[in-house]
Amino acid sequence: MKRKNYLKVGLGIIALAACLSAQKFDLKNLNAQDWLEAGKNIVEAVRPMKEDEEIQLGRQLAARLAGTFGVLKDEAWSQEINLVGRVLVPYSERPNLKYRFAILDTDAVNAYSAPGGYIFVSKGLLKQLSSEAELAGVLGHEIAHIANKDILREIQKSNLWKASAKVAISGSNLSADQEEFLGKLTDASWDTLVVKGLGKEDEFKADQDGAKNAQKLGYDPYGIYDFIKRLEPMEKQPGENVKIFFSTHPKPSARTAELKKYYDKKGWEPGSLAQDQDQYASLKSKHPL
Amino acid sequence: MKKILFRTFIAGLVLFALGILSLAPASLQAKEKKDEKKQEVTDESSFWDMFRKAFSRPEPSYKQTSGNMTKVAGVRGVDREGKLGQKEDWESVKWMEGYTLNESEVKQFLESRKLGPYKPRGGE
Repeated sequence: MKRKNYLKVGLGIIALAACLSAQKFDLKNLNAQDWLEAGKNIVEAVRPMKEDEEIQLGRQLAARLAGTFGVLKDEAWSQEINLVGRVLVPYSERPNLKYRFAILDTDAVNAYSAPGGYIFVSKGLLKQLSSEAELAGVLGHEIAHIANKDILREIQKSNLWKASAKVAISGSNLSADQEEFLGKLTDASWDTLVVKGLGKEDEFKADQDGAKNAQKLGYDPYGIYDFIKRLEPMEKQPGENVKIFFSTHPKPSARTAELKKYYDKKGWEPGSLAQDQDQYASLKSKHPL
Repeated sequence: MKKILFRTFIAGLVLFALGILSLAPASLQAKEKKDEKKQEVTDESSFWDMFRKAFSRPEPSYKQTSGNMTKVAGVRGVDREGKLGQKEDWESVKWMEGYTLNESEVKQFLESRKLGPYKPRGGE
């Protein structure tokens, strides 16, 4: 059959489908107001989450993370992560958001970034690091997830958001419906953050952004690389403390390979900028975790 | 063969035109018909309901389920079902929200590490 004929048949089928749809969905009986309402619903269903809603969701998730793992309120270490995080934020892609940093009281190696600027690193992860440049790389990675709205994108793609996006979840007095919706969104976010993990492309991008912003601030961009490289030998037989980290992130060898390509493209050499190993070692010995 | 295809195409177009034409007069009586329609339950609608159910993506359920604990656990039973044991710690959230650093601390930190330049936090 010639191409033109295919086109004709195709058009015929489309026309038939259009007739059936018009009949079925009762389009002929919709008045202007109905059309307007339908349009409004479509726009609301695909609307992006507002920043105050994002913060509300992030708070909820932060409370759940803190409740599940516990928060270590050590003054010296809290100051360290807040200082390194604070100086990195203005160099990030979303500097106007207020970021908060805390330490999860667990030996499992991991870090979490909840929407709205809530960042957690675990005690186990801090033990694994050997310089402030590495800490800057890790915090830069978490800041990048929030700046790139990685979790939000996952949530906004879900049927859950599409179905109920017109239910606002901001404000201090939420109705029962809003509370229920916020609870479901928190469950979905938890699922992405703690159970399934983000897509590997999002992780590679966060590694690169973290390294880039640490470098702009003056830290060695190889910090994040050095930390991930240290985890590579555990790839084949991950211990209990890295199981979740490995199940929610791409393989360390894949991450270091991607980072290496990025560094080569940028022309960055290891050790050319501040690593601040001594300061970090001193903190570790004075305030053992 | 060509003739048959061409006729199919023309038939499709005619049906489509009929469908379009039927929109205009019907929309004038939309309100009245809408009320009547609500009461009508036809075989056709049940067919389309079935059609819609069969081809629509099911809404994922985030409800807690019992049993079937997965092996991902690792830390304090954190897994899909681990939510059962979850609790929220709002005190810690307020604590991290209340944690502040003053400008001189930040500047001193940057200076001691030879980092920077200092930039105020956006929005403050």
